[in-house]
Amino acid sequence: MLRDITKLSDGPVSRLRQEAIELKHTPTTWCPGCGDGIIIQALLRAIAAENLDCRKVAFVAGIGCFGHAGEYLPFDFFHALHGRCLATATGLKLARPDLKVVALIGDGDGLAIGGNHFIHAARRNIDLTVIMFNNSVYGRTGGQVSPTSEVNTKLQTAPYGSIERAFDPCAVAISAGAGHVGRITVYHARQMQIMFQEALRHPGYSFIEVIQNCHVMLGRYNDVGNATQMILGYRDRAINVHLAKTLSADALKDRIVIGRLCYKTFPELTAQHAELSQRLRTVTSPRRGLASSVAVKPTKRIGRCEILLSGTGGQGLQLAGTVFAEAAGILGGFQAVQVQNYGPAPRGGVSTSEVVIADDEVLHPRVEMPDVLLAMSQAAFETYANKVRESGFILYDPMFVKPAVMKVPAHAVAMTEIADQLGRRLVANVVAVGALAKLLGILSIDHLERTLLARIPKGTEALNSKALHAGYEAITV
Amino acid sequence: MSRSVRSLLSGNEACVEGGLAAGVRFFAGYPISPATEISEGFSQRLPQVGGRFIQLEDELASMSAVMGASAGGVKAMTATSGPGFSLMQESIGMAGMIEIPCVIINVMRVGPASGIATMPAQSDVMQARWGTHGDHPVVVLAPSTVAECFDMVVQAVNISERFRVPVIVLSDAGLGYMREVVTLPDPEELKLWERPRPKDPPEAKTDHTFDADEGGVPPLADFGEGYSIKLEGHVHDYNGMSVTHDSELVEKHLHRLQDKLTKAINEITIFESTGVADAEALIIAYGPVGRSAKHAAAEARANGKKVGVLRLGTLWPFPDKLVAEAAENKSLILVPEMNLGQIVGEIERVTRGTGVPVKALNRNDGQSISPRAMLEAIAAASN
Repeated sequence: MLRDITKLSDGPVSRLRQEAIELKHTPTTWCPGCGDGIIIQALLRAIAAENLDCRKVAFVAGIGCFGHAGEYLPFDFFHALHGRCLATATGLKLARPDLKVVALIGDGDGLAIGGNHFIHAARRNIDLTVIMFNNSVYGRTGGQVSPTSEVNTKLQTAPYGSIERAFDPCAVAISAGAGHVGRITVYHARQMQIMFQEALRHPGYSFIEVIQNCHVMLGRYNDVGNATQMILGYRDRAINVHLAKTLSADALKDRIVIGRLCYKTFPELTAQHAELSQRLRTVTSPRRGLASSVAVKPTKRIGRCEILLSGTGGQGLQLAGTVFAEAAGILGGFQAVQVQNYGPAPRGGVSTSEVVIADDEVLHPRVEMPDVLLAMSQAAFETYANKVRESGFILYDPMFVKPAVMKVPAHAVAMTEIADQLGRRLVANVVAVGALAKLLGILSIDHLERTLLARIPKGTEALNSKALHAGYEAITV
Repeated sequence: MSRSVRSLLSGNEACVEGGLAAGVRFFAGYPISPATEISEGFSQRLPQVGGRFIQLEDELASMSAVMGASAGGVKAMTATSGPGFSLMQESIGMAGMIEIPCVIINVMRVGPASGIATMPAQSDVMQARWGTHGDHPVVVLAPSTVAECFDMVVQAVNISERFRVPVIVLSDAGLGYMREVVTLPDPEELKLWERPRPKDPPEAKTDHTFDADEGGVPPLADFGEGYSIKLEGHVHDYNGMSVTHDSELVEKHLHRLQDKLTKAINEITIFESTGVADAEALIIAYGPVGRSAKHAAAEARANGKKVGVLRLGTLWPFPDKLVAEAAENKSLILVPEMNLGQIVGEIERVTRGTGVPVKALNRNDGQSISPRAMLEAIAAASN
């Protein structure tokens, strides 16, 4: 097993050779004759031959017998959860693109529980060297059927023989968009090393499927022979991809096509991220709305004022609420909270915007008994009018609301009609803000205007200002 | 000169600001209401500061990627809501096991399964503590205001880094969507904590990733420094080699994961105490319900009734001593929660045998608990 590395030709990375064979790591968790050792040897030789800096090589593995490999090797190692190897490796590589990240996955680990990550990592073309230890069985858990178990294989959870068809991992990887894909078996140790070297060099997602024997867990119920016999079977069944191209599908039945099955290059994910970051280096997002570094002292005490703006989704009530909260909190020096409620559809349906303005910290953030109700729909009026505090008032749009007789004052302002006259019904909400400001008397119209102009699309300033002042003037009391 | 800024922000936006200010430079997430604005904010901002944002295929991937990035030495976080939080549980246990710093924001919503995506609840309090298998360590914070969303994300990152532990921030749909005028501090004036890193070079082999005195926090090297560190999800020894048959070592390891938090309880516990000392009735609450409780207490005081509030910022590890002391000699403890009763069980446990009655006030229909409801519950219990 790993001790065999001592017989390797002299690699350029002596530390790798010395530490990889530290006897404290033996015996490994692998059975005698397991192909895991062959694969890891080939990988170490490939890393050495590529002259990679061991400090900058990181291993991530999923769960399975193979997963323990990282513990024995002189590299940083993340032994991820079952199935999550590629997601973990994606995070590591994205955060540390300077590292060469080698991901070890199994057939069950990579294609069953981790199948979603398998296809998406390939699609993203992130620079990972992914090696699948495909022994067609859950060996670690005692020999259950895996997504690559061939039909009729007898296993602990397929005692009558597997019924389901097997995945072809390379075909999945290629169809998911992997650029560099190859298959090899544990018989072909030298060729495996070369394929690993190519994979390590490839500047993008590389996937190498290694077909390996599990003569213990798969072998015990199936007549596949011992380790040597299984491995020699791979020799007999293997056919080079170039030769395979000349043969019919029938002739390829039961053969294992080995070699590089796909080679394409696409833009690599971490490079694209780096490029994006470089491009945005000098950009800062403009903050919507006002921001102030000056703390303003309020000119008067108002206690606590609860404002409820209610109507139909699309009438702009959230913007109206935002303008009140922002003007009060940033320019007025009060404390202010805004709570938005709307139905599942952004347009139509009941929409309410709650604003609480107070001298001191706003504790309970919700409107319980509004001091002010703006009703822009009949439903809004009927739902909330009787909740208004005795000292409060109602403002409504007669186009939508036929008011009942109320104990509190109810002011009618034809907000939508005024907006129509200004040329855009959309600004009825701004007319409402102007009218409310006058009735409320705690926020200055200048503050509201400044706040409003910082929130609306460029080019609509004149219209919005007009609408605000029209609303303000509409109140004559 | 201080560069603090006053602006109108939602709870979700404040979480983004807090993360950036705390030095988070990696965010992986999956869209889910009502947490999506946090992902959106990071997707916009992180590339501008040289950080990395990625939307992954699911929440399983998101949490795994966050751990991977953190292993690379980058402060990393994610955000989600109930269904996604459930999917992250296995990885949260993993983060506790390999002691990898990371922060998870759960913007809680109503109900099991798909529930109601845009309505608030506090129903993941127990899941945040016990949602994953195997006696794992975790810290859980619950902000109550937009300003506190900022502060607590900073604190979450700090605690996570210093103690090498996953920290969960429990916001909710109400707080996430709520906008509040807040003054954000100048990021340069914030005190940021870093994870302990090895003092000696790799060749010295003196720094072990999982070795510390009782209750200690061992150093964690970044990947790529030559320390050849092993982040092993199996129970492992001081170097990260998996262990199955050394029960003494297993016990020592699993105990240390808890002990490091128990020992640091004072540094981890965040709370606000309002009129507790002379109160007859005490409200113990957390999250936005905590601020409503303060409203109720202020109203009660105005009417000559002595009501106090202990608002818990840190929910886990549960601050036993703090609660026990606050509960002393009270005639009633009211525990309002937007769930069917979760933290109330802890309060009953802590006050058991003291004779102080503990009363739960629960609501799980997506609506907030009003101060009036709290005062009525106190009055009803006092009669």
